[in-house]
Amino acid sequence: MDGPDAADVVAAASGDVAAFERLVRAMQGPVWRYVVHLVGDHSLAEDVSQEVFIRVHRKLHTLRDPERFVPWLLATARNAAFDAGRYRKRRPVELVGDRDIWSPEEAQDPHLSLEIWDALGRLDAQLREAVVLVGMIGLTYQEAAEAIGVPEGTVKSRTFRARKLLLDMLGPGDDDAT
Amino acid sequence: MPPETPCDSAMLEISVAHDEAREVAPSVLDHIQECRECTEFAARIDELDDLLAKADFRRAPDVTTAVIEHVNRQRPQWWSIAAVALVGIVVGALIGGTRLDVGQAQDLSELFHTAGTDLDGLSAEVLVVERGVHPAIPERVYTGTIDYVAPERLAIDLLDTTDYPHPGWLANDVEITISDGDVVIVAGSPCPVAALPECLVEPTTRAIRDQPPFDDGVLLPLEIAGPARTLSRPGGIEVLGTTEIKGIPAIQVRSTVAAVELVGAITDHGAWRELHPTDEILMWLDEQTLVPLRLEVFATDSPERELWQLRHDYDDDPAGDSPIFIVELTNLEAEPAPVDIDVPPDAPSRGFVDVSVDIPRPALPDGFQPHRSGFWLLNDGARVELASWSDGRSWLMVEIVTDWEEPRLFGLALPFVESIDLGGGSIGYLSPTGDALAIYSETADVLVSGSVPTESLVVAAGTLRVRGLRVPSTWQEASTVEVVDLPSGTLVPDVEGWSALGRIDETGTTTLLTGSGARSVVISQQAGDRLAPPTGPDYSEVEVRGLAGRYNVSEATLEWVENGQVIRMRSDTVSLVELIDLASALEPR
Repeated sequence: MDGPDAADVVAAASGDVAAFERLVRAMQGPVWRYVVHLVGDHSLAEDVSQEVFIRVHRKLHTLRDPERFVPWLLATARNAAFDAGRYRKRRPVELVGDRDIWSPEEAQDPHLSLEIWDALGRLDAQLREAVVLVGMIGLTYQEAAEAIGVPEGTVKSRTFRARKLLLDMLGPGDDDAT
Repeated sequence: MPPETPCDSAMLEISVAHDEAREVAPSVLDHIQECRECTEFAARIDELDDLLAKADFRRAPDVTTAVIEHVNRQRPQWWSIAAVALVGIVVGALIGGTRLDVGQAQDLSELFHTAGTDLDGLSAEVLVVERGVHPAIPERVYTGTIDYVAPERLAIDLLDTTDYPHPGWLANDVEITISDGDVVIVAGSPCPVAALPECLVEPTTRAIRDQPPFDDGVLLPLEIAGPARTLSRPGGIEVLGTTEIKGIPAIQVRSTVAAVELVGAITDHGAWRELHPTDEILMWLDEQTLVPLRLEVFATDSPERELWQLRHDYDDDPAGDSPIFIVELTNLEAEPAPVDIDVPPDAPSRGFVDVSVDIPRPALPDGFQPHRSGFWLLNDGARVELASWSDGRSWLMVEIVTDWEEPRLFGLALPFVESIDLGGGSIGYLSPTGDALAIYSETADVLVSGSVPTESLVVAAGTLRVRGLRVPSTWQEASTVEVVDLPSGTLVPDVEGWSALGRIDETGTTTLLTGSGARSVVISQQAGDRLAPPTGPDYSEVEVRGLAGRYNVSEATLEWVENGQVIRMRSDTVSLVELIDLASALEPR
């Protein structure tokens, strides 16, 4: 994916609030998409997304390389999502894989997307995380590996397996269907 | 999990080649051509990507406003510098010592490090005047007390004495207690002018415990007992002359809120009004210790300040001669009361453990004694050992980690670093602000930081018996250069009081200018012959270096094209006038 301007990252780390605001605007979409997959709850995902950027603002000065901002941000999002899960552990909420996000009315095009919604929801959480980062958000393998904290090869493997399972679940393609 | 079949291997290669936007490796082409499953997988992977793109969730909520409001409330660190600007004001009159040669007053950095001396503690009463909070509240007046015990204990109690027009207005009382790594603050929260007074809340307690000594995110009592951050890099501080204030010999200086970060931080906790980073400060520094005795803040007259004022609903008069913020001390005493702290049991811990550690004492300035030592753990479990020393006013700290595995220097915030010869073939890397030096070695990664002069940091680092190596060429720090090493034709600054470091990447160059306090400017230069189209209404035409340029007031960015380069200077801590002055001082390398 096209990350934010590195100069904005540097400026934000130096205390430039306007630059930080640009970072938030540029990255809140990808953060939201990632977090909602991790926590499985729209309302909680919004809270976690806010918390992610507040953490990022607090910690941005520790980021050594502005070019690594995106994976660092998403790693922060991952930590915040899991912290939120721990915080809510007394409630009967499954951290990953909660089905409430897969309701078809949430889809931009319910008719087209119903099957992919359902298929994504049935994926193993690790596989879904990989395909969301690479296939949906557009991270490179290296970036996704940094965000998740696993080797690049693991991301490649998980992304492939996710795709294969998704295609299996979706059934034959258009050519076969006609 | 490795693929188990030739088909899996082939499809994995198809998937990876798809993501890396390249051709499939020839080694699997034969298999793919004979494998219907593989062919179908290859054919449908684009279809799957389309489905994933359309399977987006409902529109992501816009959290920007909530985040930025939070950031503005917290900036820079609510418990850090805020309170203790006040302490700095008090100390001056308490410390004895030899009168400084005021003829040297222009060199505040040198004066600061040669001035004053052991500081055991103080107590005082403080007066704060805050103007322009709200049309119904033209002025608020605070009285309070300060007790400071060197080096890391402090108690401040500010009482808002304002006579409010009705009970909906809550007093902006503030209590701050700090004791060796624990902080408790009882204060309200800021509100937009338009929402006053309905949005005011009763003061709440915020606390944190177990912080490392002299933690940058918490409090540097020694810094505030003397404004080292402000004076150690005095770019943006103009010495006006010598005078007296209430009978105390003083040096009068002019600066900005951004340069004197302690002052700006006062307004960032409690329900204070905001000050603009470019607002002018008049400050009277005690001649003997260079501690500020009185501060006055004035609204500046500039387009960016005017826009900011409109957006914040303030009615400040930039042309007036009345300060919008004043801090002054009264009734000084040399003996502080004991600082007692009551940390709530559920206060979050930073995880620092105070214990003895095996860090050799480096070469230190005279009078430095051991202070706190201990360890803390990084997120990945790596253990950082730490030892600190202080002479009561200045401090120096050494942190060592033996299993740092990140591909970057331990402890430095940005890849902008200056390579320093530590002697004996050893190399260190100095931060742009000159207050931290990192060492990369085969056995350990080290950070030496402090409020002492940079030369003292370098001397201390050179005596740690750690042989610093050059960082690997793949690290970002390796691409940082001194401005003299930027490509020919690059516009480079040569401005007194600002440090400059550059980086080169495939798109061009980036130069970071670091001034006093929080002042910084980022200059980016890329090949191009025209500016991008405006993205909003906030642009104005300006002349810069004799050329037509433009200034985006909402993004605080000055842009122009010169000799085939698009040049952007961005800073929200420096006014447009000063940005243009800095631009004028750029010279092609």
